[in-house]
Amino acid sequence: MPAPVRRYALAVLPLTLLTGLYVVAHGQVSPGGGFQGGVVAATALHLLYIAIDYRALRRVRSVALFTLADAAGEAGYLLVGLGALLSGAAFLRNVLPYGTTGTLASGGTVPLLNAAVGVEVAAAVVVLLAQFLDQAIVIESADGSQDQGHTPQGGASGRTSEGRTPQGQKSAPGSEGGRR
Amino acid sequence: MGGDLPVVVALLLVAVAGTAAVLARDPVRQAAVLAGLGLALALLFAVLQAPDVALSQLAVGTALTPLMVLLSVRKVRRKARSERREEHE
Repeated sequence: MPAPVRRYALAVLPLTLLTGLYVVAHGQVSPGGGFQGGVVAATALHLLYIAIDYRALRRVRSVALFTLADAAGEAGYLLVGLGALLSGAAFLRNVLPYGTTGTLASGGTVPLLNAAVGVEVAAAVVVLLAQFLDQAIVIESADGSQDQGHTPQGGASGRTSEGRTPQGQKSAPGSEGGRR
Repeated sequence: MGGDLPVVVALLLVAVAGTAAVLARDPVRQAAVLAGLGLALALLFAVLQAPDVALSQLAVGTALTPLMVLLSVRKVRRKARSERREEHE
């Protein structure tokens, strides 16, 4: 990766994370929510791969921990639903005050559900990509070649706009296919 | 009728991108075209006033799916190459 790209990736990493958290937090008042924000937050972590290298990404990404967070998010959703049962309402029925419409403090239990989904999706995407990346990287180092053709580009998923024109893509990702 | 113009344009874009994704035979190129198709679909959803769905489409269709295809292709190619090398030795 060229140095400007690395610097850019490092600079937008916190911004991407913040965007993800923003989308999760504002799920009840604007487009977005737990799922969308969770995916954005997960891609922020993978900018580390572009900015530094795979080892740096692996250091902050403990798969066991993220699996645990995945399960905790799911459990949180269930617990919010069961909490409504405990207070005498139906499953997932709103039991919190609604607040003022259009502000962050609104929507009753929906922000809580969004937060649970956000944690779950972010962790799940990190774990999912970890499995794919681990396989690709392990095989690369066993091979001994330093061809970094695809994965860094994949790591840039947060701002993927490439591939809009099929012609423009012929040289870049297809280059390895040509050598077959 | 004039208000339908963005929808028609987005639909045409989706049709073109979808056809291109089918016609691209190399998996790597197909993944790239798939990202373009995801972008066109996200545009269509946004034009049809479903920004929530557009955001999901942007995250999953444009980023995650092509990335997983790329990583899978990479793994398969590496495996094939190392097997071929073993045959040579």
